[in-house]
Amino acid sequence: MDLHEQDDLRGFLVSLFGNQAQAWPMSDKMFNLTFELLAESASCSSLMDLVPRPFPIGGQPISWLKKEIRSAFLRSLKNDSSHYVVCIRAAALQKVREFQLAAMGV
Amino acid sequence: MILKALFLIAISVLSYGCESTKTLILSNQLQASFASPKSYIHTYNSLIFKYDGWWISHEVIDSTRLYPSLDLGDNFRPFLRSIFQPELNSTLPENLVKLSSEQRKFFEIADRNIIKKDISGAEVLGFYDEEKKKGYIFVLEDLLVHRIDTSSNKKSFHTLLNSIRVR
Repeated sequence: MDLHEQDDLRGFLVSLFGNQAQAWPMSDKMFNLTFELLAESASCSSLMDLVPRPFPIGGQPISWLKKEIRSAFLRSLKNDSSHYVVCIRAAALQKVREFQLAAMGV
Repeated sequence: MILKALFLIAISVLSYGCESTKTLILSNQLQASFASPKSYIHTYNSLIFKYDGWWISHEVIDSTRLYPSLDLGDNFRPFLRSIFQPELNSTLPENLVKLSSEQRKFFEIADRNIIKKDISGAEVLGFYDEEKKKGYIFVLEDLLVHRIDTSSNKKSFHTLLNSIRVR
């Protein structure tokens, strides 16, 4: 991810998980976890419409999405973060430890 | 000589036993025990005990920490209870009733996997999801609310749950 993409992802994760996400490295793993979180939430389907289908089973979202699509995906997340935060709030509560472990490189 | 050797073995076994179980003091009232982890990870707001392929975490939560983007205010405890007992959601505003039901769905809580216990006045609510191999425990004390998560097999989850006791 380039610096703009990392900023967009960080902005969204701070809206979702609070200030702890400020210190998280915006790595490929962090993108993949965010993608999985959104993909699991049917009410976020408008965002997932940007993603080409079918998504390969076991594939890594960061490598599957072309840069243009990935950037558009992250831009949408940032621009409409309040909507997406609401639609994945419940799923995020369940996955927060995975984000924390990934942030600590574990 | 043989007696001395047996004595040394007994001491080693006892020492190993002591080192393999750790105590986590939850409050001035409660504690929990857990197997000695491979590493301890302290994040911004939680403590994670990491083992080979599984983990346990502990966090003290309040009305602003369950969902960082939403302050549950005085509805915090009723909201937590309503995730496990939807019939208790009548006092909640409509948006929290919806969120509670959504949370129940995401946790995949079914009546059959709900655990409810009382430990000397502390309310323990939890469940284990066998498919995802994840368990969640909320301990509601008078002054503190604990969230304990496990990514473990069912046996380890129940061992942890049953280890929560009065100090």
